[in-house]
Amino acid sequence: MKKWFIMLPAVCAALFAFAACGGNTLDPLNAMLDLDYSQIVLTVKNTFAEDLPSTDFDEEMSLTSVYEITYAGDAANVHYVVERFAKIDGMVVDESLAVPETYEGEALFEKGVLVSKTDDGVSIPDNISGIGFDFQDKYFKNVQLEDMYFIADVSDPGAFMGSRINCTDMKVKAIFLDSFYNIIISYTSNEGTAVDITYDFTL
Amino acid sequence: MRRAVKSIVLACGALILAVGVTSVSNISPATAVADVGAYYAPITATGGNELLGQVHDLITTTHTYYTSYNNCRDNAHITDYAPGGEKSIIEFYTHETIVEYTTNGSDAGRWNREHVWPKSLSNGLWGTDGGGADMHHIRPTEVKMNSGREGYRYGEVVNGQKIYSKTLSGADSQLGGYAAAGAFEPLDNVKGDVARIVMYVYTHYNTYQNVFGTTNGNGNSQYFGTLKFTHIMLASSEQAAIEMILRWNALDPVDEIEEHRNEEVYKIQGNRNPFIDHPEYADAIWGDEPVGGGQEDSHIEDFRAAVEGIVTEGSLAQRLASLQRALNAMLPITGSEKDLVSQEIIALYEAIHDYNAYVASCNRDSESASKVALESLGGLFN
Repeated sequence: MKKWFIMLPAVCAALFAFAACGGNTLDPLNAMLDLDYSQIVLTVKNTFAEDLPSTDFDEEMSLTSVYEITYAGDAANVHYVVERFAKIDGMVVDESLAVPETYEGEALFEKGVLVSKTDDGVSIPDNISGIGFDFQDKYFKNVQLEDMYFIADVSDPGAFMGSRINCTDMKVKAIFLDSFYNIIISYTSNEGTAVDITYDFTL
Repeated sequence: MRRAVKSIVLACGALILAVGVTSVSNISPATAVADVGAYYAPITATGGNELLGQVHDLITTTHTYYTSYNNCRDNAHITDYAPGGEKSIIEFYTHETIVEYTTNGSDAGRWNREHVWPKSLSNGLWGTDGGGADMHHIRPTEVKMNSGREGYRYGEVVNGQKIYSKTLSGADSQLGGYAAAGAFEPLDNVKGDVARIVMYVYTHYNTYQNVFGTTNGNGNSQYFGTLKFTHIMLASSEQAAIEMILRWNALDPVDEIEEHRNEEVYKIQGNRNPFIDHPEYADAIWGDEPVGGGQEDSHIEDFRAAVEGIVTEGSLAQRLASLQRALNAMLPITGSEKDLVSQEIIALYEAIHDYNAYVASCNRDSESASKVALESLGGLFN
């Protein structure tokens, strides 16, 4: 990962100046992605729409997964706590099945390739070395870009996130100064699931 | 002298009075108001031969006073009470009121004693004692109605001759049934009465081995023997006779006349007609519906309602609770009953499968979103 932290303020200023001249106005955000973060905490929450009363949060049915990514050189250790619903086994029905089970484990990546993982059946991508996030003007609309935040509707979710994704009405909000504090993404999957993703960054 | 004559007259009067009520004074009445529940407490079986045997034992061992044929006559105004005087009774086949008893078979418009199960068809077991004088059995009948029925077996006739009771003048009074080809068919509102008397007599006076009992009770074994339903019902087989009796039992439910008689005879004899108190015993013994069918039916209905109430949308807690209710409601259903609810069982299994498929899809959605979120950090993993 390239280290820009010393030159960061000057680079950002230059990039915003460049954007003002007609280039990609969001290149400063891409530059922030290249910073050397010591930890990123990723929280993914899926809320399942089943005609639930909108004001009755006790009835909300969701699964939340948290991934603590700690960087050290070319390695990244992912400590995860994920939730999954258990199935009915045989003919034994217990209302406690409505409470998600949690699985906690570790996955180690080197240069973006999974090298080891807790044997618990939780699925983790084998390879996280693609382009990933890409902030390009053409991927967004209704953009609000200020000194400390970026808010927009995402018109091309797959290109923005670097992964094929089937969804509607994706929105993004990023808080930053010289580096990202967090990026919050929300969308509705084609299956009707409400997805909320939060990235919390620590330099 | 006058005092002596007066004393003699008084003594004779007392004697006559005593004779006139001998039929009652010799009776040790049972409890005036029957605790019916307590009476049937020894019955624990739910059907079949076991129930038949228990019922036989109950009604024979509690039959503590065997009435005489005259008891049947003298108490008819109590057991078959009708307004109009001491001798007034409700006629068995027509339910009309008849006010005079007679021993003369030609006296139209008066009543005499009818063996519902005729002596000639009793396989020699009774004349006018034992089963032939059992007050649950003997019913008052208008003289010409009695003779019109003859000694026919009961049955279902086609184009039968109408049999009427007669008035005192000998004119037709009330239709009481139909007769043809050796069978007599009572009116529909009397068929159940006949069936329940027939079942009582059959159950009581068969030797205990014949009806799976353990005793004939009270040492009156001379009254017991072998009886078959085909002795009294005109049918092609014993099973056909049983089916006719069960059909009549269902067609004509127990009425107030029967209930009143049952109570009054119980006070005199000590036993009850169980098929009046529990008409469901008939199908339980000879049909295919065990006693307590209502309970079993309710188990089935409860299960059906629970399956119908399975929640397929909304929170997992609601869905699981509804599935749990259905599974709990299925527990009491056993054996052949499951055949009755096979569709509901399939629906329950499918609902469980659908639930599992739903949570699997939720897990997949969560996994998919996490994968995309992690892969979006690709630039930070290099």
